[in-house]
Amino acid sequence: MKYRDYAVEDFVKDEFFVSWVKNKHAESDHFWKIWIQNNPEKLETVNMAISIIKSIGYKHQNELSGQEYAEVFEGIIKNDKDHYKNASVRKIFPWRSFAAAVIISLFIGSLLFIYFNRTNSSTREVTYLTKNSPVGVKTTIKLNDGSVVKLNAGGSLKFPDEFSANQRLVYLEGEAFFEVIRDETRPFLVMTNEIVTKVLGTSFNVKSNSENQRVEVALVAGKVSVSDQNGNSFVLRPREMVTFASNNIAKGYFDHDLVVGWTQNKLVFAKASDREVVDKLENWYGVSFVLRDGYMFKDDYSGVFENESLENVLKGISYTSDFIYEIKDKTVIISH
Amino acid sequence: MENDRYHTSLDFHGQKKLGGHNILPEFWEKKPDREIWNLFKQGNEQAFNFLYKTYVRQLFKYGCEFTSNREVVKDQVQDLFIYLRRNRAKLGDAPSIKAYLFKSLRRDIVRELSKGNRYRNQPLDENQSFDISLSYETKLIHEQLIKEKKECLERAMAKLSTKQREAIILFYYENLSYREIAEVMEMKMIKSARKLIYRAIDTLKGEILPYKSSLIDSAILLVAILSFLF
Repeated sequence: MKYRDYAVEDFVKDEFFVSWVKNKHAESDHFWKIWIQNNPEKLETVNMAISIIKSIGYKHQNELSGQEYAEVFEGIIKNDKDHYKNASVRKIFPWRSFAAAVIISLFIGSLLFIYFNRTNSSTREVTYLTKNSPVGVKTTIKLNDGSVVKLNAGGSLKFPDEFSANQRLVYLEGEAFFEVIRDETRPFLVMTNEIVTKVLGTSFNVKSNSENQRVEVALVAGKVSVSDQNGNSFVLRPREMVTFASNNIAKGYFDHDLVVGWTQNKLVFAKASDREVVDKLENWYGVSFVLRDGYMFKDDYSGVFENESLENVLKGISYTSDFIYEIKDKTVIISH
Repeated sequence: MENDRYHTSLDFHGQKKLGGHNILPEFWEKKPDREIWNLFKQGNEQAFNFLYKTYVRQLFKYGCEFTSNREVVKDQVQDLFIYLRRNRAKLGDAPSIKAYLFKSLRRDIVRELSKGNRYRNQPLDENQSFDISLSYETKLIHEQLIKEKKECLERAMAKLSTKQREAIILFYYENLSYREIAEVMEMKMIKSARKLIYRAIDTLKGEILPYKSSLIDSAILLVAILSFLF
């Protein structure tokens, strides 16, 4: 189930949604505005959920009065003074009423300030930056919280110029390896095809394919939780990976080199189909393949190449697959 | 109704917007909790002022759900801040300041009430503790609908367990995450907090199903959502 299949009760259970309604941090605001625009038939459901969430409050109206607010504050400060100076200040200075007056006027001031700034303060515009890795190129991006993202060729990462105080949200297409700086107060969220990967600080790999809606999250160190819109949530331990495919979710261990070898320039094939081999090589070296005479590579190809040139890789593959290759500029011609 | 307006603005903008006494609110608002907490621990008075200003009213309101004696709550809130100031250098980490404060106050009040000074410490009747009311902003979209359903929904809420109601207040009104609710209510697993809310919502489900709207309703909705978004 995805957000578009959500009923009112699903929205009101969803932490990400509730926190948007209550806080409107700029990043989730961006996500929901676009989502609502794209799913206009869900307006009514979303609205109902919003009004329920916003309307919930205490029945008892137990408010601290302005005077009590000042008295409690004063009591705290006075206690501190007594504690350190071991003397009663109250009898010496008539500062009680003075302090109260100062605090109350500050309080009223801030009230006015909030009132007049309601709109501006809640909707600070966030500028989003998008970095693309063209085919054949891997890009390393340093985010403003110090986290580092290595974006594989053909991928794209969208992130705000400055993270908010409550969360760090980025959008990923393609594949990236994240090394996230630990900050328990601001979870780091990676959005991919409506799958959310939430971490506090750790390193992990996310691979998404928008064509077949497949998302793979593999954890190298630390701890991450991954959830889909259906409420399915997985906590991964190091070396574990979860794969979301259409109507199928699988969790298991992964082969380190196969999944994250690319970050160390290791080109890895494990029982790869001919299609996979071609796709991977095209993306990795930024070339396109022309297969003459209907030639196809042998299926189930396995092999590892570390920092090798395209020529050496082709030479390696040709030992088992028996073909002739020709590299012309950015084109590779394969024939019998 | 000045008071209400004040509280409404708290709701919508998160309590951090209030700011320190002398510094522009944005200065503090932008800081993550951990930074504010560290500044406080290092003796920064503005950080303390910010904490007090941001949380004292919320803490008081929350505390009043445990006892009908507001003096007890006021004392416990005051003692909590005194404790924090005295021990500031020794305090542990508070990844979520709000959860830390709520948890501490809750524990202190429960302990105080258990001392059995019956005359002074009157625990609130379980049925009244965390009574929930549904208010609605005039601007809000489903105003009429909520008005109609309000009473049904409130009655259904009153039938939930006290713990469920507390979790609902913490989640929707105080805007705590499931993780923070688990911390405040001293549950070992975040899952338990999640379950508490899920079960409550499932119980209320019949009351929150969307209406089949007429054409006019849809038009109103469209205008309302547009004004809400932009």
